[in-house]
Amino acid sequence: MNLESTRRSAQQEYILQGSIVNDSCEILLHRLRGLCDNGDAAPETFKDHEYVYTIRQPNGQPLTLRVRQSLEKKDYPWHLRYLGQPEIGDKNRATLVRSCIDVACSSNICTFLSEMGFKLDYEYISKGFIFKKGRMKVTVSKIFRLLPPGNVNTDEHVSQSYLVEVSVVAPTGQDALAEEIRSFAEQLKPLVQLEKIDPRRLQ
Amino acid sequence: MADTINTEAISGGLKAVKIIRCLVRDLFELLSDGTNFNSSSLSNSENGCISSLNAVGGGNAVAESKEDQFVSNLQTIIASLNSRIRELESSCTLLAHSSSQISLNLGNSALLGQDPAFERSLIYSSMITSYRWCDKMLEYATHANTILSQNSLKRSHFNSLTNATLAMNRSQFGQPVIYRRKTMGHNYSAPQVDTLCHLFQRHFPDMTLEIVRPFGANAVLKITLERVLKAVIVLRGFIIEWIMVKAYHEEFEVENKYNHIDIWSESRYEVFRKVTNHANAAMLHFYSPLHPDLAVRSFFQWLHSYSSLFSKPCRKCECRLQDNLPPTWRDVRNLEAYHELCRP
Amino acid sequence: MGVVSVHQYPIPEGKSGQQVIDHLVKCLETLGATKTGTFCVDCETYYSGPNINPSRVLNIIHNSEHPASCFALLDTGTCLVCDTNFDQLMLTMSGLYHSKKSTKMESKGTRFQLGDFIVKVGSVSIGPSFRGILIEVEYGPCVIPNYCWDLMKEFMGGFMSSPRDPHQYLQGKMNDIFTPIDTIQQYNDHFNSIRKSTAAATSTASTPTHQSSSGRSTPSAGIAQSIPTKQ
Repeated sequence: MNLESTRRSAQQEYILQGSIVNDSCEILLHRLRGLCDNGDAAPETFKDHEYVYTIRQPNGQPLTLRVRQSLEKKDYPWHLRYLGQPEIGDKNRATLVRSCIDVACSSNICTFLSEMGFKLDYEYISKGFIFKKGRMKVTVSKIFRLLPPGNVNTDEHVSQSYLVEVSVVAPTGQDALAEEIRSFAEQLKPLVQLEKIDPRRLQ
Repeated sequence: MADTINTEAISGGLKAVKIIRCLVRDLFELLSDGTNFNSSSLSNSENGCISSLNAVGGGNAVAESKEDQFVSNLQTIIASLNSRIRELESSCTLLAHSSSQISLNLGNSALLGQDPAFERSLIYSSMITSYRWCDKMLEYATHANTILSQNSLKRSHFNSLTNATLAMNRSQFGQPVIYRRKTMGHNYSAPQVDTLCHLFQRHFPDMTLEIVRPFGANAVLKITLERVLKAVIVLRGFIIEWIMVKAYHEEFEVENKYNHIDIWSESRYEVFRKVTNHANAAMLHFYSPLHPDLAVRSFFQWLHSYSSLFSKPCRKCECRLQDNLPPTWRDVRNLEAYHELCRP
Repeated sequence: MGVVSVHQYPIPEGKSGQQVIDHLVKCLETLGATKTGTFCVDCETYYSGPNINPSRVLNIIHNSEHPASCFALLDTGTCLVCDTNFDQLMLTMSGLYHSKKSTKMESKGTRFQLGDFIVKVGSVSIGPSFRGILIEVEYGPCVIPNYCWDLMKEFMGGFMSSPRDPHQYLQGKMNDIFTPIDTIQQYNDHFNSIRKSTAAATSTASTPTHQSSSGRSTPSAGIAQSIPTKQ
């Protein structure tokens, strides 16, 4: 694998994650509205349908691609995303870092991927609010199952809480951003505890 | 006016300078000669008289009188010099005043004269050419004005013909007839326009008509003809005021502005700029204030013939292209396609 | 975006590609065309690895007319339009889809404007070696190929032997609104046929090494070989 060249050209995502129970979500939203840009406008909402496609590589590792479609704004391009293996790093590193490639594409991306040999692994609906602060992106969202399959107007939520993510996508080597994210996360305590979460350890 | 004052001041100033020069020369002459001069030349004859009169002790008196003479001469010269200088100054102020007026007329271009790199910059010469263009434009505009005033293209109802009938009526009945305005094309009500447009829509199924009213009561029609062209027609009442034709994939809407129609910007493509010109000419051709619905209907019929803009060859030369353009003109009577230069 | 038609321009025997291009450019300039820059359409071919069944061929095409976009064509006929970050994504998939550097093709040349027509004369090359000429004619004001095909035919007759029928791919879409994908599909078909004829030419040639040696120095030699097999 020509990993080195990929890593050089690709963007990095710096991310912290956490969750908040439904009852306290309202308070968090108020807090975020005060902290983030454009506080005078109503928080921007989103409702996305995410498809996760995987394929097994010759070395046995699966390659995962995520396709997102906005259900609110149908004329937006579809969004294809590759996320690399997350790097936890040592204690000094403030956030999780993973390489990331974002591609805007036409709506036939699902057909295209399945013809390329990818398999649809799972899909879900993500619905919530998005805030911006400088280069930082803050999302507070709820995950829904598509039950019955294919029903996008589902209300089958996965849990009684919201997923909170603070992230920045930037070219490699801008580690100062991680500190920025950490200090922002500090301001959200004790409402929500944002941490470096390695999905591999959860399994 | 300013010119005459100017020359007077100049001539007065010059005269004053000349006199001042003479006076100054006289003054220096007088000073260089001193008192000796007086004894020898200036009052030679007087000297004789005086010396003969005051023989004893007259030497002193003569010298005194000489000095007095010298001083008085000097005084008169200086006095006249002073007055002349005052004259010169006054004419100078006059001159300065008039010259400042001139620079006002020139505006900023007067500053060009102060440019040290005058020869290197081409501003002056290009200014001259632009002035020349301005003059030419003015000339053409006056020509156009006289020509256009002869051939009246006015679309108002009060032309010479109605005035003549008015006069005739008056003479026939012996009393003035109050002229009543008939229902003209421009005072149709909005619902009337709507119903007529719906009628046209039914008549031409492959032409979609959309009525918007961004300017109040007057309607703007957005027309899409098959998948060939888009047009915007501005109506005043039921009189066509303006037409703009664009390609099927061009937009009339301005980005980020909801319900804002751009009726001015032209098409990117030469074909549709030509068609727009022809459409405006046809609009004038079909104009008829007494039967505006008929006029608009025949205009639409004419516009509808453009559905074959790209596919129909020219009737005359039977080619499709001329100057890389398809036949952009349609005959106003039989709707045949012609190139611009093949028109019958 | 108007209607685009792409055609292969035959090279008569005994003439080099550059001579033919010069002749075409001269023709266009006499017609009154003005140069409006250069253009480039490049195509990179990726082949699926052994673990993908059925095996696939993926062509990634860039067109300088749409500089921020990338067109990915599978041999199934699906064409994905996306932004140029997709190129990076292909690198991460290098274990699944791999490209041979030597198969990169491009058509490169000058862009001319003549009224509402845009003509692009491109010389096609695989790696360093010259492989033929592709002419792209675009008529901007019209979006339906069927409406303006006769018009374009007449226009093309002005400087080249005009084709009798539209391109195979376009024939099925004559009454649809033309999209940038349709241009790319035509280029893809032409690239494939040029690639095939080149492959045939090299296989008929007694020594396959001859092709690589002919290289840039004598491009006409490669053409002279490929012509007889085409006819």
